[in-house]
Amino acid sequence: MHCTLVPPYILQALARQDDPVVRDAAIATLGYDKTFAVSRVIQDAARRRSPRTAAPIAPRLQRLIHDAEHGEDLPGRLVRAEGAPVSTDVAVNEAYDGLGDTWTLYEDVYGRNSIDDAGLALSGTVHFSEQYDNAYWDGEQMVFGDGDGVLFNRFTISVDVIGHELTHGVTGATADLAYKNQSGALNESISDVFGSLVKQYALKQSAAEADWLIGAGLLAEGVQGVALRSMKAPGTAYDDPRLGGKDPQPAHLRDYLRTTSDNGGVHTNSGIPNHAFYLAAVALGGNAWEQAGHVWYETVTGGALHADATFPQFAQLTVATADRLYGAAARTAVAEAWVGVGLVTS
Amino acid sequence: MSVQRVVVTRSGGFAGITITTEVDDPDEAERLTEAIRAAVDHPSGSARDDFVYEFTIVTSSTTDRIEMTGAQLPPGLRPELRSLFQRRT
Repeated sequence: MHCTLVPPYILQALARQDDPVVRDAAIATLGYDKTFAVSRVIQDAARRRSPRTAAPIAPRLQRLIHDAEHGEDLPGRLVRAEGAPVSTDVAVNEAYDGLGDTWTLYEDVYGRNSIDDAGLALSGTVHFSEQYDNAYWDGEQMVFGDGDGVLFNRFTISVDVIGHELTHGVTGATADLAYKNQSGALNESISDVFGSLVKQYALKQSAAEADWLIGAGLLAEGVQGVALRSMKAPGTAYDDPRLGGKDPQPAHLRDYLRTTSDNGGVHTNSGIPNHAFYLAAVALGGNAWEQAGHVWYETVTGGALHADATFPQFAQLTVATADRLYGAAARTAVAEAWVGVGLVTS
Repeated sequence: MSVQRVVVTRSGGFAGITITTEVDDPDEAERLTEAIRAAVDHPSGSARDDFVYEFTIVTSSTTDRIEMTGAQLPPGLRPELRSLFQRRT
């Protein structure tokens, strides 16, 4: 619960205004705890206008960064809204910038207007709980812990972590892959793929130049490792007894981990489709967000991917999508990438 | 039937790292079991990258397994689990 001096119905009316200054201020206040609701208000208003007379609404980035102040109530106190000055809190600024980088990749490259493709305000909360070694997507917003400082640094430190979490929102709004076993590992892999692409696009790195690491900088000083996952070489990101030993990700189907933990090993088996994406991106050449990214994006959002998809079904669909978008050579490159991880497509 | 020990495993999370700890003091194990059983019906949520907790509750004659998400955990239990996992390291 929170209280404002302006009643919510007035804020909702203000949020529908065309004047961006009025609208942004109202959204910032409302968006405190209702980003989806706010988005619906705006969409409804847009829908009521005649489609023939209404000018198209240009996508506009709308970020809301909150501070949980080491508690667990979400979203917490609003500390930086869109356009507000830089904070003195590094986590707030990293979250703000990372949400911006993610929004920009989706808008610039894939023409997607925020995670719901309808201009949803992006909300993130930093300083969640105490010594919290995690970041997650709660279905409506991103949540970032500060890490324990011994094994993990703050989870906003790596822009691909932010891209990863937001992509869970994109997947949830589209294919909505079930978060268990192979479909769950695909869900995780798609978040790693676009998380890495957010970083590559921000740094303007080609597929050959990119480090393909997930969570670089996240491991605290003294921990043996460079990141949490490597898409280029799954299973090599870390090796430290305090993290349970070696990075367990497989790069090939023959090493698929059968387990009941972690929803059927979704963060482990994602190494297989992760590596397939890497192989496809390198084979297609140039920038990974271009051909390879478009093939994966179209596969996830195009409507043909089932929520309970398996690895072979996903692989088959990416091959068909590559053929449709870029022709026979791209089809072959993507098919060979899947062969590289043990999956033969027809 | 009194609880003898509880084995706690936490998997998932963004890092996907699995850690295990154990409560073998019968009083502490009993108290933890009551808190877990009281939270079983809490909504599990639809979060992605949330932790997954697995509690294996061992009595003299039975072994029960209860799984819950981080979202399901009662807030009061979080600090206790945190210190349990820290004790392990």
